[in-house]
Amino acid sequence: MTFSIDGMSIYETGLMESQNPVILCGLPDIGLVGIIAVSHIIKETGMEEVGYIDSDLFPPVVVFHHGEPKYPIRIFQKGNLIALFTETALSPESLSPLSKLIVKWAKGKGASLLVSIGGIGVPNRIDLESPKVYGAATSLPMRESIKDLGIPLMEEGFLVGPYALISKESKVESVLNLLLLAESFPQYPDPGAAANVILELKKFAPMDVGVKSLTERSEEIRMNARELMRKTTENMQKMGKSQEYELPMMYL
Amino acid sequence: MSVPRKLPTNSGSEWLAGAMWDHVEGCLEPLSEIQETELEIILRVDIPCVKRKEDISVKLTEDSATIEAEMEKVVQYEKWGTFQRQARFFRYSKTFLLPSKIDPEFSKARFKNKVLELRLPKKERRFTVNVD
Repeated sequence: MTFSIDGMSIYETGLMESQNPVILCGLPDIGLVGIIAVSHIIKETGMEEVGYIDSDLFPPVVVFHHGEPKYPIRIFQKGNLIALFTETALSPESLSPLSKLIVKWAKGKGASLLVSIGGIGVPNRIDLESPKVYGAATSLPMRESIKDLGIPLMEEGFLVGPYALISKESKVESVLNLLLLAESFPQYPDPGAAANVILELKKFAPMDVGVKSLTERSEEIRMNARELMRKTTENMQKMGKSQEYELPMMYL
Repeated sequence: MSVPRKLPTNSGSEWLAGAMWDHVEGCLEPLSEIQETELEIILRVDIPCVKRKEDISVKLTEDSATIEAEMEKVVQYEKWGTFQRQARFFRYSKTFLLPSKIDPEFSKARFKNKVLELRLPKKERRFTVNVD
């Protein structure tokens, strides 16, 4: 089955029917927090590959795993949990159609929750033993839940990048979008931040996922993700990511 | 601001010139970020797999900082990416051209959570002017 918008398509190759699934997004952003977290969840829960996303707007790339060419943006599933995961940096031009595609597809699937997992770049990350995770959501009841679960709300500020677009589109489509953003190294892969996001995510989407192995593999991940991080940083600069350090004017 | 790569090119091929590794030298280019304030330049370099501060060498001039760091152990890949050959890495190396002249003598370095942070005071003299 194929679902297409604006020249971008989701190809379902083995997606099982599920009722009101929770959909996780691991897209390239600050500290690669979403990618690292979602990759770990896919491995730990044994999610199966059930589809991929493709478009002419993506770079001409395939990634080989065990000799098999794969699309860099793939979809995984286990029961009611679906995960979108990318292994390549995404150009700013591709983000708008990609975000629309993801949100409209999530709506079509009757998703109970679309979770954006990312990072907030903090200059003092070197001194933070356990980075804080902030939450935000498109619905008031979910914002109340975030607070009730002891997660600080991201009260004010700008968000730039794929998760900003997903958030905007979710409002248009009335899809419930939860953002979990961990304090992170701005330009280094940050498995520690990813681990803390997973711990908070489990409060909304219970799953049998530990973070010990993620923490233990932290240095290996940091080393292996250097190139993706560098390309992601270049793209973030192009999309004006530095605006996240500015103050919004309203209510000043 | 120019941040040159100290890594030699791998084979002279243009598309390899941007690679962050040199399998011949066993060397990786670390990720880094530079922050400039009024008084100093803060340079942070991510060097996972480096264990001890004694394994890090920092050489400064007024215009540049060269970082060399030895990993705790050799990191070996049986099939390194599309390259498909065994690759072994055991150190990081990079030279940074700094955006302003600094005073190497009063510079400070610390190593925490596998990140090396250099605080490099700017050489430029600053004067305070009283406002009447």
